[in-house]
Amino acid sequence: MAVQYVILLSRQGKVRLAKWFLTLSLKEKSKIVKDVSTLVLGRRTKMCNFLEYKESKVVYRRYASLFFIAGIDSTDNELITLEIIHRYVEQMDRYYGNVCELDIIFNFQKAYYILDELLLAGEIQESSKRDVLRRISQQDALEEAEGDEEKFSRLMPYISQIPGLSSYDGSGPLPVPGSGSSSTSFSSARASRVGSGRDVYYG
Amino acid sequence: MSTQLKKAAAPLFKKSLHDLIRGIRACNDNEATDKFIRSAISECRQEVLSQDMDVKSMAVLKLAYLQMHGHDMTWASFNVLEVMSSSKFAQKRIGYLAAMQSFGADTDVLMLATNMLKKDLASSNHLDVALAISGLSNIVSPSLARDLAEDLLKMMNHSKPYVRKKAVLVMYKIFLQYPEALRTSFPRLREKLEDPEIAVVSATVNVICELAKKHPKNYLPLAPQLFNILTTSSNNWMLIKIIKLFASLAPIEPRLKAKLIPPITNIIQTTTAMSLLYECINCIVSGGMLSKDDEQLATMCVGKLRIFFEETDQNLKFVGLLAYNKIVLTHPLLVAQNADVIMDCMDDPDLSIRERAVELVVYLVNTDTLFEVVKRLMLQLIPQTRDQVLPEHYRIEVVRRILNMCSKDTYANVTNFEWYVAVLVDLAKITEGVKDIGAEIGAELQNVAVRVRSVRDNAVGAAARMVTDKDVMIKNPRVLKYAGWVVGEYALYLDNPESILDAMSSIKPQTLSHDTEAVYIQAIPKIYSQYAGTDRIPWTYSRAQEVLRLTENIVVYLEKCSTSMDIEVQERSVEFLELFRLIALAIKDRPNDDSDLTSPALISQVMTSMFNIWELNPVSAKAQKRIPVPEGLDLDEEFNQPAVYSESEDEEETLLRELVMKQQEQNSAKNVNSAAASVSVKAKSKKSRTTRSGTPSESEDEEEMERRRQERRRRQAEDPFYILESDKVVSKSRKSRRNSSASELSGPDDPMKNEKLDIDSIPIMKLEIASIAAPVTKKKAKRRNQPAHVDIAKEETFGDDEAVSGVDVDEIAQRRPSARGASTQKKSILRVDARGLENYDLDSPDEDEADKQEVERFKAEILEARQKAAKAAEEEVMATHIVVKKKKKKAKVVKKVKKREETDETKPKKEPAEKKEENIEEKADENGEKNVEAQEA
Repeated sequence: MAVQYVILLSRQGKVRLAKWFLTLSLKEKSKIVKDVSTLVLGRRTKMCNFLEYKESKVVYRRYASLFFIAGIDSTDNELITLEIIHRYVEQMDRYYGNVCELDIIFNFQKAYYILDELLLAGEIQESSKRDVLRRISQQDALEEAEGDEEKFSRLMPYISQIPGLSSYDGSGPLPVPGSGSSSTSFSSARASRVGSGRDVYYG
Repeated sequence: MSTQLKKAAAPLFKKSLHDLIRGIRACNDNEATDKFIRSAISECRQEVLSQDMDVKSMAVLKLAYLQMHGHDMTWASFNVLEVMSSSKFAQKRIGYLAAMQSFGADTDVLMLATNMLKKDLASSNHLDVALAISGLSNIVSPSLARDLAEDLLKMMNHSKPYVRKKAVLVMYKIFLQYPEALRTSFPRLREKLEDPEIAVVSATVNVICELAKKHPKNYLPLAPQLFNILTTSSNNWMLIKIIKLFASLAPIEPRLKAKLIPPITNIIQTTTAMSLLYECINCIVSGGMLSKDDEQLATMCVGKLRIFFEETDQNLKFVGLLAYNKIVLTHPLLVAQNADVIMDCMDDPDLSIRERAVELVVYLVNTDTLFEVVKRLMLQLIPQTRDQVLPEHYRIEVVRRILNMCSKDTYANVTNFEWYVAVLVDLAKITEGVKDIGAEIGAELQNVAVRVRSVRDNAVGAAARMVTDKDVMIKNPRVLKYAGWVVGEYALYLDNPESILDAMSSIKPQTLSHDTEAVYIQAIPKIYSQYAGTDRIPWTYSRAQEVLRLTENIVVYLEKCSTSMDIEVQERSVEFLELFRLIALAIKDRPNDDSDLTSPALISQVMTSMFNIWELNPVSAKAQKRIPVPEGLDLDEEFNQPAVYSESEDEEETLLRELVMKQQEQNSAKNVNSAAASVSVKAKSKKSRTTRSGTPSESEDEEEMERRRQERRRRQAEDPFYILESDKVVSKSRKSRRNSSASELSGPDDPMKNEKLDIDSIPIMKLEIASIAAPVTKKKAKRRNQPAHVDIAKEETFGDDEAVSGVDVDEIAQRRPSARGASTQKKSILRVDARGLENYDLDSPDEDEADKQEVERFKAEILEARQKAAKAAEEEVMATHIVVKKKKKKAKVVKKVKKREETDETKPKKEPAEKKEENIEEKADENGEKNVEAQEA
């Protein structure tokens, strides 16, 4: 088993992501998270990125305020694991666009989706950088297409009841009172559905 | 109007994930957070029951978020399943995410997931398929693996490489849960090594690499294909895996080595990727390709690894040290050429690098460098400032390594033992308060004192200082057990035995551990006999008074110890207590002036003879085993005839049993006593070894024997199965004992007599080993390039030395990996349970296949039987018309037929086809007959 788990940890020791490629109980997971957190947080910057924990190795790297931690088998290659971690960070950086901790906090599921495209069963499944992101955007596109459809069908009955809109037949842009353009209304509705909070926090 | 809109749209805008996260972040303290999360979870409990899939999936997503922070969501497993089965991809994605996060081996709803997963795997949308595969990789259980293996096998041939690679990767998880799938999917897995898409090939290599770690033999046939990939591919990710894979295969197929070395060497020389370079070197080392005579290869590896140290990257240093640690086992000299960079790592700010370096240095030190290295390590142990104390495990590690490197090969590297003793003393001081390590330092001091005669007085002096130092007692008490032994055993070397005795006997009981106390009690008489028994000082009155004072101190000390809870301490102290009381009396009996200048005999003769006859020498742990069995001694021969029980006692037995029951009840208290007695006997035998005293005084002997005899007689009297001696016999045996009974050793023809035999009277023959075996080899160490010639006593053993050292080397070789591997035997939660795969041999006959064949056979039999039955039914129809009349005749015919059958069977098989037909007919006849009979009845 190449990678046993991936944990993203804030500098304060808060878990931002925990992906397990082993089947463990919640209790075992919390124990490992706790042990590994203390080990990793206790390291200073000048130290190497490898640790020994029980019979496994822990490979970690700090990016800004986040520690990326991967547990590997004691026979596995530490250096390539660092590469995997770096690859993951790169992918997220491209996906979120200059990723920061808040992106991961508020879109934690996306971080998981990206990881699922990069690793499967703990093994690296795609060494091409572009391919991973292409898959994610494909999936997102599918999701959005569904979302658009559904949003529209959900709102249809009410739209017809809004005064002045009773004549609207559901085709063409939706004239929303007090709003500049119809497209912003849609995209913001979509944004709230997907749960993206970036424009709220960084807008 | 607008309220209506709001109300209708309400489910849409309930607390979103975003709100939840923001809410948690807004909480300032733990209490508020807990409260918020609790309320959020109870909201989710409602929401997951909602009919609206959006609400449901949002709740599941929120729960997945909370699960990440350690909140249980297993109660929502069924709802997760519902979301997974949604037709919308966005919801499905959430469902799978939650399932991957929360489902475990004990999730019961997994049983319901099979069909859903089957459906998703067969979906026309490849994204659905991919999602299902990803999900399955996390939640797969044995039954899911069994049911879905077929579907995944199909997916391995999916038109999209994206699905293919995922399907290949997930197969490893399937194999783990359901090893039988390996047999059916292996050919396809093999095909995938030739897949046009590199990602699929890479995935296949990954899977095979993992599989080969468990059971490499199965995958040897793939070697040519894999070798081809190794030489043609340029994808580093895959190359690393493929090299790792070969590292598992190489040990079981020696011919691979010659094949692999050229391409791997090529990669090592050309690659710029450190990870690949490291993997190649690792492969050479752990693949067993580096034997002792592969000088060139080793030189290249060691040379390449040096690059790792010249960079400033700490990570490279770390892995470089790991690799050196492996190579040093076969090529210590080559690694030693890089001692400079390794030594630098010893002072690295990173402790994990330091540990590795120190581990390595043990192999690299020689007589010239030892001094310097130990000094550097010792300096690390001394804390510079108060807050810069190194962690305890590291300090223990360093001390162990220092002891290791000094004592290696019976002190091959130590030239100056005064220095070494000083180091040990310093170590004992530095490691104050460090758990357990004191014992190891003490043992080392003891070892030096025993083995190196020239430095013995030095070691004894050091030990004496430890024993008298109150600080040591508090801060590093474990070292005292050994120091106490040294001062006792080599009391001859003590400058001031009096002060040692004072110090030892003034210790309050229970300030030291029991084993240390026991050693002290043994050491005190030794020192005492040395101090009081010496004939250099005349026995003046003042001297006598001084000795008396000490004796009384000791008596007081032993009295205190004699009530110890520890059986060993108690026993030793009680024994010596009596002796010292006698001595005190003897001294008091002397005249109160200087008229008699001879010391009491008890001191000058008895005490000294107890301890000072032989010197202890180190004995090899295996020496005992090597003592040859003396000629004429057959260990398997019984020298005591088994008791013969009379058979006429049967009727008495029930009576006896009742008696036993009664007596056992009565004796239960006494039995406890006898158990204690047996313990003390053990302790005694142990002690007789440690004291190696001469012959104990006659009277004591006699007394003791009498006491034992009586005890035995009492035991026998209580034992209903023991036939009681008559008084006459007792007296006879007593008499015979005094007559030193050769005649009593009666022949084996009389078992009863044997029972009565007085065991104590059997003469004990001294075993003269020297006369029957090769003489004990007492070899003084002779070492080349040892400037100051120091005699180090080697362990005594039997037989030729080479054999011993040969065994030792083997053992060390075995021990080394096991030292680290020992703990791996324990079940670790991080270890994947792959027992199924480890024992799975593709070449072994398929059990399933065998089962199937058997089933087929059964089926065929059943079919045959049915056919027969059908035929019989036909016959029956015929028979009903005829048989009624012919009944008797028929019966005769049947009989005849049966006879013929029997004779046929004995005959060699002729015309089998014909016979069969006949038989069938006959049987059919029979059946028909029976049926008719049944009808008539």
